[in-house]
Amino acid sequence: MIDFLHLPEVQSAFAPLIAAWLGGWLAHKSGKAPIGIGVIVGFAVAVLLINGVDFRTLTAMRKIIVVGVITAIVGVLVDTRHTRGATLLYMGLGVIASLWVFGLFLLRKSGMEMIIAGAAIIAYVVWMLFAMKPLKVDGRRAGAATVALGIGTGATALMGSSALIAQLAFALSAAGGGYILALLMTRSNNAGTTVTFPVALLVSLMGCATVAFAELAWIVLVILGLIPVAARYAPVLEHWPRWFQIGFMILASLVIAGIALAYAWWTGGTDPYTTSITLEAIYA
Amino acid sequence: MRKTLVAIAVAVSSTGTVWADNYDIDPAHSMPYFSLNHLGFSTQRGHFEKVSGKMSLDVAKKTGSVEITIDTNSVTTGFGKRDEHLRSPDFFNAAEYPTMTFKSTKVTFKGDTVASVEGNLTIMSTTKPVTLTVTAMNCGKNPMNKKDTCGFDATTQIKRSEYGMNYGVPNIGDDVAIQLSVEAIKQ
Repeated sequence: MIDFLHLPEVQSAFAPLIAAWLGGWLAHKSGKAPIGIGVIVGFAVAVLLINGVDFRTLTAMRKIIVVGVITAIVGVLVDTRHTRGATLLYMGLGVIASLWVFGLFLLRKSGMEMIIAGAAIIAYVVWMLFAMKPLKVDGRRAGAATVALGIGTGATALMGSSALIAQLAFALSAAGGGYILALLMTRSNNAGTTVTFPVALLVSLMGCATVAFAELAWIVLVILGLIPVAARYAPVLEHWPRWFQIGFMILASLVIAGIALAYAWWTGGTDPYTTSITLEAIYA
Repeated sequence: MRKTLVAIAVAVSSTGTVWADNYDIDPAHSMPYFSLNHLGFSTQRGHFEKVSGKMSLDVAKKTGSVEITIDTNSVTTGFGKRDEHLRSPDFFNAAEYPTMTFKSTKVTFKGDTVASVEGNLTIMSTTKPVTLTVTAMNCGKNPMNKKDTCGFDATTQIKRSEYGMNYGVPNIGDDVAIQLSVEAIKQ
């Protein structure tokens, strides 16, 4: 009854993982694109399977997807052309993207409530861009952060009763996994803004969407915001095998995601039963 | 002056009524229901608890109009956790789109009663034409509050994906049947 491509594990795990792996590997072999492009290829495949190409009704979630595509292009351009003032460009695009995605939501609020909500959204987006930026020099850590941010954002979105955000975030995590596989296969350690810019913007906007549109406590975002820091400073020894180093980095980052998840569970007024309902929706 | 007033009175009595009657929708007795297929197993149903709007009716001239605003936050299926999910970005995205509306463009009469209402349905800022088939209609004095009241039942069918609500399609049905029960009190 359920077509293979409609299975959520295919849409949000297998397809983005394989697409990112192949995309990254082929990009590296061709030498014409950064290996990190695999993350975006994987996410794009998941978007096609989950949302299709229907962008007629430009909801906030669809705007986030469009932002992901634009930032991926910007990231590749910055990496290949070594653009000056890139940091300013990211931050500016982050602020513009935040206002575009959440503009309608913010306009429905009044006075101080609108200012506080808008400032909080921009602060989280800018923080995530700032925290992910240093990881561009280390593919292992950028990949680990992507995996943990995707899982953390997706799992807390499930707590907030949004299966759609959860699926997209899990897909980004799987794409991060595919990218790591490509890194391991090619012995490359390249990340660049091709990875860090779109990932930072996608997870931060998806996290804000869960708080704004679903039922997630905002403090969860503060905890999730520490994932890039954990990925950056996770202590690994150079003589460890590479796969083990990355595994450890993912584990360290997932600890933070786990804390965010526990907090969402504890404070969000939600419970395992809620999550089971949302999971059922994913499997619907 | 007196001749003018007499002329107006004659005109009114000969045409039945000059102006349409205006009504406010009674939120306590107006309810839009929806139903759709769930995984091919069963038909699941829900409704919206908060409805407002107005309508006008001129039976003599066989004209009318109706405007209905539905609060998407008031969606209920009898199960709170599922309602939270329906309010989320997966479906109605109530925080971003707190209302959906129906505005009539043409009312078709069959005899003295309304047969169908054509209009525009707006969900998540996407507007599509729909036709409400009126299955029952009655106007008269409400025996309880003694107010002039009009009520009708109507049905229509939409594809939710056409309004950008495509999460879960096709496993959660794309075709949504809408049953509308409305009562309105004369102003």
